[in-house]
Amino acid sequence: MKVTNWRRKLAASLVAGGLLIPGTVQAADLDVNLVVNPGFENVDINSSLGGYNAVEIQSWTDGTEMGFAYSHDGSLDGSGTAIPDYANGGIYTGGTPPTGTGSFYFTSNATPGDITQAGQFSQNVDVSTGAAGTLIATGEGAIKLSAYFSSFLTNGDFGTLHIDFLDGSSNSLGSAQVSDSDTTNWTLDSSAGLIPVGTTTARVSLFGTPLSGGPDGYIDNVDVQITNASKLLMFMEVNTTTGVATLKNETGTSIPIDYYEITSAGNALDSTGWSSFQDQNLADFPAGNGSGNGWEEAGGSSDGVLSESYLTNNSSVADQAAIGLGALFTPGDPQDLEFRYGVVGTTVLNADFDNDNDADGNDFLQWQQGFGTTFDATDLANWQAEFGSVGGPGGTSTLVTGFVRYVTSAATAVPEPTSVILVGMGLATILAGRRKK
Amino acid sequence: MKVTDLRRKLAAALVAGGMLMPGAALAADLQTNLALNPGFENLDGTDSHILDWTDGTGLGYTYASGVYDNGGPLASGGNFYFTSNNGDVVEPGVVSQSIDLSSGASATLIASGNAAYGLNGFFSTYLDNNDFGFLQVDFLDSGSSTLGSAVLGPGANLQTWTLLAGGGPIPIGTKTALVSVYGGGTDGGPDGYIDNVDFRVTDEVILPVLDLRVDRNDGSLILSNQTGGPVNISGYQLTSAFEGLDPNNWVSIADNYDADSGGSVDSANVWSQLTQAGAHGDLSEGDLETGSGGSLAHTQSINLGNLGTWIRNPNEDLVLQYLSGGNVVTGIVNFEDLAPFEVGDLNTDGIIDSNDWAVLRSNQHTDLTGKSLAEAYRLGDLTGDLQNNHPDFVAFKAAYDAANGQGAFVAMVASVPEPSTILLLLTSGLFMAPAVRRGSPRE
Repeated sequence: MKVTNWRRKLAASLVAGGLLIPGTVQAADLDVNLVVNPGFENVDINSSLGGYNAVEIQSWTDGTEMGFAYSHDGSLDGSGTAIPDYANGGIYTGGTPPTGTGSFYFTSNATPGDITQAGQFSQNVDVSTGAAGTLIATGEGAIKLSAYFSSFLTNGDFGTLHIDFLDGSSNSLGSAQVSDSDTTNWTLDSSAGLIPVGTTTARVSLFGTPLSGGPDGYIDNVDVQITNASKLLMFMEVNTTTGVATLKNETGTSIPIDYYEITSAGNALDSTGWSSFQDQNLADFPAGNGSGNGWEEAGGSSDGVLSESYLTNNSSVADQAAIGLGALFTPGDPQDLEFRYGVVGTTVLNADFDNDNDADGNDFLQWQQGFGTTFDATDLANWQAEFGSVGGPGGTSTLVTGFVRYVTSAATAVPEPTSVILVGMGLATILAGRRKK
Repeated sequence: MKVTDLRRKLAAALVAGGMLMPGAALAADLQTNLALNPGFENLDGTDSHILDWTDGTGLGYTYASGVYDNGGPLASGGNFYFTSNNGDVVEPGVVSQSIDLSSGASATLIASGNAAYGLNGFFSTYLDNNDFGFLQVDFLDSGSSTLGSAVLGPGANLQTWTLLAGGGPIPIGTKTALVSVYGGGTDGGPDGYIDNVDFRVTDEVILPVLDLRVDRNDGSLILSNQTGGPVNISGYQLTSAFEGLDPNNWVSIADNYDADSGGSVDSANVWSQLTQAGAHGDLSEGDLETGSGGSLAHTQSINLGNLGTWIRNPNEDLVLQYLSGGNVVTGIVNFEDLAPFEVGDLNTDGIIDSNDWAVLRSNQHTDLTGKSLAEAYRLGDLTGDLQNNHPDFVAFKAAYDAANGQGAFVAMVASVPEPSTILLLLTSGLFMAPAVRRGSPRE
């Protein structure tokens, strides 16, 4: 163990010193899992160097420590001894692990000294080339993370899947992570984020956080994918010729929001050209009257920040929606805009049997009529738990950082002369209409 | 009358807080000690339990003065004192004495709402093992329900017998005062020792130290002496961690009550303000010339801050310390009138509504640098980072939903009446309009 550990530490320091290039695990394609040995099925059953009879995990060798695995199914080590399971939701607690999780899973508490921070148990993914490299360079590369998480009984320990975005000199440009969201059974948790421009390596680390005794963070089926940010996040498309900005959603799902802000450190915004939701009073984005009953502009809106919020409800930006927000960018100014939006949570009802977005007496009637066929006792329990609830988006929002895409008018196909005239006339009509307003 | 007003306000505040401040000895010049066997000298001839303190669920016992008590014997303490570690009396209602207040002068006074009580006793403990005694009074109505209570206790080791005293209003409706002695501790048995208990009803609230009254209505401050005698003051510091003090509205002793201004607090010395211009976390001043200061007479009150001296906010965090006789004394701070403000009630009118939203929204993304925390809060900074941005919007929306019902608006929109209902409403509206007109005065 010592030698191996020493070797790894040397390797890590060489990498840090730029003397050794981190190994490329595979070509960084889009929308595929880039992690090698993601389910920890490749283990050395003869290692016996970890605690609690855990076995050594292979391929995750770019950190300072080696990692160890417990077994979902009582697999035997090299000496014929069963490798234990301690996970909530596994055979240890009389449960069944999620399908597809195989025989082994990572534990943060079987490495001597424990795995409690990023960089200890890691795998480097080279994202400098291929489709991923190209995409990241445009600023529209995003990362998707997911993994199964569990822990020991209910002692509150939890695991974390952490990504450090490293540049060519192994400096960190940022990070993204997802942690176990509960203390009960194996659960699949996911997260996503933008990849900083300049990122050449995504260092994938796993670690545990102890709340009681050792850090019993258990993790399985790690999935790290690079994808086009527009599939995950809304963005602001800004025409640098005209200054016109358009809010776009190409994620494939409708996104309910109650807030957005566009900021510019260099005051590149034009608050007078901004056409806010409140200005436009769109069908799905009603203008508020000052009482919070619709979208209302922030009082501090300026050339440094434009922001609107909806106090008493929220509006859904439909998939493929493109909502113009006026000429809010000053052409020629620095292209330093940042775009963020507040996504409200969505309540999913299990007892909305008549699909009218609530759990009420009508749903109970449905249950009665379908009991024994469509519905069972579980459905009744759901109804009792959810009675009076309203489904759908609601409550407060989480701020999500979208991205900004700059385009120029020249990039669009040049229309034929007749079309130009028509379009020009159309524009004139629209402008005239606006003036009247 | 002012004193009555003060008493009522104190009553509300003290009852609400269940609060009683231990402190220096009070001038017990009022009515009479109503506790029987207050020095625990009368013991049962058979098992030596304390007589008269037998209205609780257990019996109390004594030690002989000067045996285990730190600093003992107590000079006026007789032969015995109560100990809580014989049978381990660790809660009120065990070794207790019911005092009937339902008749006589005390009953009349209590019914008038002007009754106050004085409570004091001597406390000591065993060596330095961090045990201590408690002396508690519970005010019970005719149904033995508790209307209010107060506790005295050092809460720490005492090296010698120490007199702790307190006082406050007696709630209207009180018929019985249940006085209990007990102990608590962290080391072995609860060695709380208590002697010479005094409980009395008075017609005047007596507080152990100076008190500052903060009016939630307007943020004004009044410093008052209700201790029963004159109190020397040579300086003070009023602090607020949330920076909720506005020095512009401060009415300082230096400018109003010292030798070169009004002189009503200190006619001999000139005071100096120590607060720096623009500071919102502290108001402080003192007699820096002689250090001897002046004094507040019993019942004297001074205006220490005009409207808005306290920047009204949910954090009622003012701390008053003053120099008296060379000692630093922590004063009582009472916030009076209205209920404490809730987070999100940005215009401090007692409700979280669209008017508060207007405050938050109109200041969204404005520059709050240079504001105090309290000032920024009033401009929508709910998170204390001198910014009004998304986290503040989230905090406000949560407070708004909590106050007005989450999804209330959603439900309202969803329940837009069907056409026939609208017709009905319109029709009834038509009928209502003339009715209203008929009811109004004709010109």
